[in-house]
Amino acid sequence: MYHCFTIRRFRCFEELTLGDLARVNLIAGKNNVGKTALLEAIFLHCGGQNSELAIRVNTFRGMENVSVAQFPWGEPPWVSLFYRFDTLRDIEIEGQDHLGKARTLRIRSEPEPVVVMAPELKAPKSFYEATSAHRSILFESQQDGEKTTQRMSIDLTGVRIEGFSTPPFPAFFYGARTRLPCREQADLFSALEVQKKEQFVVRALQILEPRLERLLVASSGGQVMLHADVGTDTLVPLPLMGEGMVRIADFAVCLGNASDGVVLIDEFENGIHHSVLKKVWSAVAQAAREFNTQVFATTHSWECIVAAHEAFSESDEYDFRLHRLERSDGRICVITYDQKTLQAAIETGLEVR
Amino acid sequence: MRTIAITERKLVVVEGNDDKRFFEALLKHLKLTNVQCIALGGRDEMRKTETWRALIATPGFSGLEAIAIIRDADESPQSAFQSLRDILGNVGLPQPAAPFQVQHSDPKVCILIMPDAHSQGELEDLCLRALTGKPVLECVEQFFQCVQQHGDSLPPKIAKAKLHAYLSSRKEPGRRIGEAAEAGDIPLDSQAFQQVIQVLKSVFA
Repeated sequence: MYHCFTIRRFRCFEELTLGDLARVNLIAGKNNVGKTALLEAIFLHCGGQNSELAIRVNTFRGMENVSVAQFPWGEPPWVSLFYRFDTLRDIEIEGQDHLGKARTLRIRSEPEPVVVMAPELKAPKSFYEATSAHRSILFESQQDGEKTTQRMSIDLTGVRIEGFSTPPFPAFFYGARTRLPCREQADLFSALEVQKKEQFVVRALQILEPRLERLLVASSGGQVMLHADVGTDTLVPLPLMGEGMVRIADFAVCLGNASDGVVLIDEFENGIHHSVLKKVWSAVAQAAREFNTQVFATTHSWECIVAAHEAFSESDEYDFRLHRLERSDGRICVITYDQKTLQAAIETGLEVR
Repeated sequence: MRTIAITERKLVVVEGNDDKRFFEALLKHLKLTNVQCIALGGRDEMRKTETWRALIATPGFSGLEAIAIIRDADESPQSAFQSLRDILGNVGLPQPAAPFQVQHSDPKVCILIMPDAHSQGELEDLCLRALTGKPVLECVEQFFQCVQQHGDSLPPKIAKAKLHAYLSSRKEPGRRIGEAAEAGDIPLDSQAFQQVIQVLKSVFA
């Protein structure tokens, strides 16, 4: 579990240290202050040296088309990961656990091709093209003096990966505007069924739909997906039960499958009515403890923050922190609220977002 | 819920909403613009270190240039000042050496004790002083003498009681001091407020 996290030269962060991390961490802050970027940095770090994530984090933001400029002097597709788009300055992401053990991920955009690839006869994209563009990005993970690397190379014909990547623990990124594909949601639920741990997903969904008796994986219209048994004659495909149900099911299956790992949720409150937020947080707290999962979520909502604070205050342990990102003198800094400070802010009505 | 955000670079921090309204009226009277007034939710909240930690963590706090903190003396102006000064130290804010003295730090900080640095009491005592010389106060005095003569004990916060007796005699009775200050029932240009006015002008200059 992360206790402290430092980001250097990633997206909007020149340097940011996030300390006093708890099991569940809620990130607040104004628009465009770096909340999603912070989740992305954690996600990259969770992946070990998985260089493919350099492309994948952009897809979470809807930048789904990856292309490489036709000329060597064009921008590589991961340029936006680098602070001020400066690919000459390496990204550094360091995570430290509660025992003080640190692991550092260094990301370098390599200006020149360094990978020796098997020669292939390739058809040029354009007969008029005299140059060929080739970009590579190196992910170097360092822990206890041991370095492991993976390189992703991209050119006009496709992507190549050199080196292995073994993620240190499972991690899920749940975007603000994305949902798990039905099949993936069903697969993750099945994985819990195999371990006989699927009931907490049902309990979490019962917060929104008390009639729910059970969840089943079934095929509908040729597509495998979760179905809900709400006591009626037929099962109801989960996607038909509203965004809130789908989102909570997604949270639950991710939490359950990220044992000893991390779940990242962008804009937690999306699709969830404020009146049930406290119960949802209670369910998240319970699952996070049961599966030893660490959660990082972002929010814009006062109700969401108050609900989380109340849910954790009423639980056995207040393993929750609110962190707010804010710009001060041109830099992004973080302010962390412990239980007493957050309680005082809520009682006084002082803004915390 | 409507939350309190810090939107200006100059801040007056008071105990409750009535104090807030009073000082907003005073700031307006003084034409001190771009000064925000925040109530910490009451007497007890102002005395908690956590409330100050929450205030410091509020968005916009780090950009403040000047803060005036106003609290009642209650039983002891010295204790009131010292306890507030200690809290400021605990949360890492600059500590003025004495009440009504501006600490020229970043941000500038001053603590104003009501009614003054040497007397027990509260803001209502100061407001009552501002009414000195008004003929109607004789009626107020007679009213409380009458109450006493009839065997009833007087309220412990007699200045507050007298002020409210006076306010009940105004054109629109029942106003609290904040509203009364806005409505002109409390003369904000009175000599009684001069020390407070001088400090506010100095810290927010």
